[in-house]
Amino acid sequence: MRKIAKATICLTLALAILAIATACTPKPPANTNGNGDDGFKKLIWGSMTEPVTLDPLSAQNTADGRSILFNVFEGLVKPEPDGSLSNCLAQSYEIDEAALVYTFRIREGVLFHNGATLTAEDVKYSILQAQEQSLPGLSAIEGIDANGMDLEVVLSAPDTFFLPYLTVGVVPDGYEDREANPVGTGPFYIASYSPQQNLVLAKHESYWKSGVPLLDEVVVKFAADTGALLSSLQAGVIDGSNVNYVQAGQLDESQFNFTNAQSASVQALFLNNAVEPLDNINVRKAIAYAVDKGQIVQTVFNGHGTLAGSPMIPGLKQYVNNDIADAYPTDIQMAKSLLEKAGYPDGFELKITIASNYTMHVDTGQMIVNQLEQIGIKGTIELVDLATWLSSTYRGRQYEATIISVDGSLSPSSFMSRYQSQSESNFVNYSSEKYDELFSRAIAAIDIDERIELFKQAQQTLSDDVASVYLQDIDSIWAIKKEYSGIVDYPIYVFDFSKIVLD
Amino acid sequence: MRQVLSRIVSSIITLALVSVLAFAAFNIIPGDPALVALGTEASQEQLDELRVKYGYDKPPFERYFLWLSGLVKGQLGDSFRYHRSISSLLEECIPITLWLSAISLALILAMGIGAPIGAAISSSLEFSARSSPARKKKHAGRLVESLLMSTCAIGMSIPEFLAGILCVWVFGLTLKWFTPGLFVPKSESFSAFASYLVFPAFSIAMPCSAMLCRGLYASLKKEMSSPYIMAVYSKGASATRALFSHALKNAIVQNLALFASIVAFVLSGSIITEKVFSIPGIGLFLVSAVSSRDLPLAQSIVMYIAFCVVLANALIDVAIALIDPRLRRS
Repeated sequence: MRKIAKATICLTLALAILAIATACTPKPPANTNGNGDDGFKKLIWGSMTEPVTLDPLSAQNTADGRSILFNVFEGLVKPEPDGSLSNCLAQSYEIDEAALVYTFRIREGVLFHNGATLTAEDVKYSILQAQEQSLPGLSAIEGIDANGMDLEVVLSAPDTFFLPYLTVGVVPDGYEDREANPVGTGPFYIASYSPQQNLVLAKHESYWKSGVPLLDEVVVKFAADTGALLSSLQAGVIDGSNVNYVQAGQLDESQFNFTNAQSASVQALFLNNAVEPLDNINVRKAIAYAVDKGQIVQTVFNGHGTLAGSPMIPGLKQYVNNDIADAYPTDIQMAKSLLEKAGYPDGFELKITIASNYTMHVDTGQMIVNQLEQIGIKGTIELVDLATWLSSTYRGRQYEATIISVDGSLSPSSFMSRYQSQSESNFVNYSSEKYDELFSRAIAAIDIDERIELFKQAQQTLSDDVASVYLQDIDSIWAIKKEYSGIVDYPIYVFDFSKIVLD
Repeated sequence: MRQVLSRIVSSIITLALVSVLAFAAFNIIPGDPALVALGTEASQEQLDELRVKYGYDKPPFERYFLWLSGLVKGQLGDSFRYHRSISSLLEECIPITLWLSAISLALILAMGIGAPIGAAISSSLEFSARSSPARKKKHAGRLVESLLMSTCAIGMSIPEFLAGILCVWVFGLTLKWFTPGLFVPKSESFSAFASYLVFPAFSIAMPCSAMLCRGLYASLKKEMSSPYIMAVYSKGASATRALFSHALKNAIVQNLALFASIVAFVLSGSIITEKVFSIPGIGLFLVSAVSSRDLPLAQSIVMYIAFCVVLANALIDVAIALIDPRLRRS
């Protein structure tokens, strides 16, 4: 017995010492930038979400997932930082006068990650696959003709906004193993993917554009939550990430550079136009007058946001109707009298449903509840998880009010199309013949000035009817260690790793 | 033999009940898996197509039995979220959680057994105070005891997530003994892998070892003042000898049931700790599976956890029966 007891003590002590010893062993400082003597240049990028899919032709991905795949897949055209489109896999293109036939000349000598050479057949296959998977905007295609390096896309109806949809990623002809072994033409290829851990992007050595990418490897490391992301940044395990302003404030300014970028989505208090009492336009107007957007941006977001008056993102400057940016300045008296006119002098109860994973929307919701209280509306916040929000609130339209940011593509119509009465994604149940007519005229307009004017009128209609209360485009902040530079701010939500330089 | 058999049967019944509950719970909660998978812009046809592909068009009863039969055969199916087989995902994440559990258990044993023994030795004069009145030492013993008890009280009352965050802050960001978030896969470097896990293991071990410590110390104290120890003293044995050769074994047996629940708790993986430390074990996968409504994956992980708990309990029952002759007979 005594021996056993002794052995137990020795064992426990040994374990304790071992534990303490391993704990105390000074570790070499995390060599995260990997910029060793061999000149291998590496960036470790933190991300809170994992891509849902690695297939560029699947409609399933999240905004974060798409923003990462932007570095792996390319389309005929590619968005530029100023919001325009540049030729990418297309050497050149022509649009006929009726805006029905788009003719592309495919770039010569472009190699896929697997070594195959790009032809028009690959592009045709990819676009048709994307169309089958219901990627936005492609339903207008009537036929595609591929011949060597020439591609002709024929539309069923004129659409002058069609080009931005051709940013869809191109994969080799007939390539089906897109989920497990993705192959594209972008500056990086996917070297490995470990769920819940990381996604490794490696330099595409034979990338068609010379001089980029400047990094050899980008590791996208997944953090479980905001706390883990912040401590990883502070500890230097990750070199950069997209952070919110609270996290940005906790980072050491001598170590990080911060770049403010628009998130290319509009946060709004969406009102279900089909339920009582929100079906009454005076009630919606009263809410619009009661909500103080400026206070939300200043208090909740510390000023990191651009006010919006319509679903069109402020980044698409020429299309934004600036007259309605502040169509409903905060006016409590006006709001009260509108409520009275609508028959609710004492206000009513309003349930605001918010997906609980979006802290920023929850914080915004609390602010709005306070603001609405001033006119007698008793707001309550109902937190649901994102899956429930998607099925009940967004798809099922079972809600009174909700707060979310809605994004789109570079095409202005992508931000506006959901407000058509019959649109499947019209989750606010907005219905206006005037709007439907303006929208269909806008997307068919060939003259650019006419098109812009029609879109502005459509936004005016949404604002007049208070389809919802549009708040702001929340800034997203890029924090990256000082030794890296070359961050490019795009009007859409993407991370372009190809231009990042490590000094 | 009959006892072991009935233990096995009751374990199987428990697991069957858990499978019904797990299936029912995940199928009752709102949120359509197909919609989560396809996103906001999916058309009705696409949604229907995916439901057919994963068998979600079938009635719940049929789905349950399909799932159960697959489970028995070891065919867990594919994960919605990761588009690959669940077994391949589990193969990656279970070893990580097992290592974390092993290190946690080592720490729990070290702290939960080491501390009360240490305290008992330093205050052992109190136990034998009747034979040698050394007042100063008695006073020191009391101090050690109250120190130990208050440390245990603090350890037990710190919630798991707070323990994790505190560890990150103290050991990671302040003392810089480890780098938060720098989880290294086992294949890359085992020592880096294990030393990263020490800190999350410590935060798991904190409340568990405090519980064990309290229980064991109380038992030790009771044993040391019982008549048979007086007999040991009267034969001229030292306090240390009385403690190790006689009191300790009895005190440990009394705490085996407590230890069983600790083992089950640790083995089932600590979801919150894995999240705080970004460890890609079963806990992290379970959270992501539930939030993305990856029902097949979530159900499989719940079954795995249930299996661990049932197994740990069954094994400890057998162990207690082996150690304690009184239980063997009854």
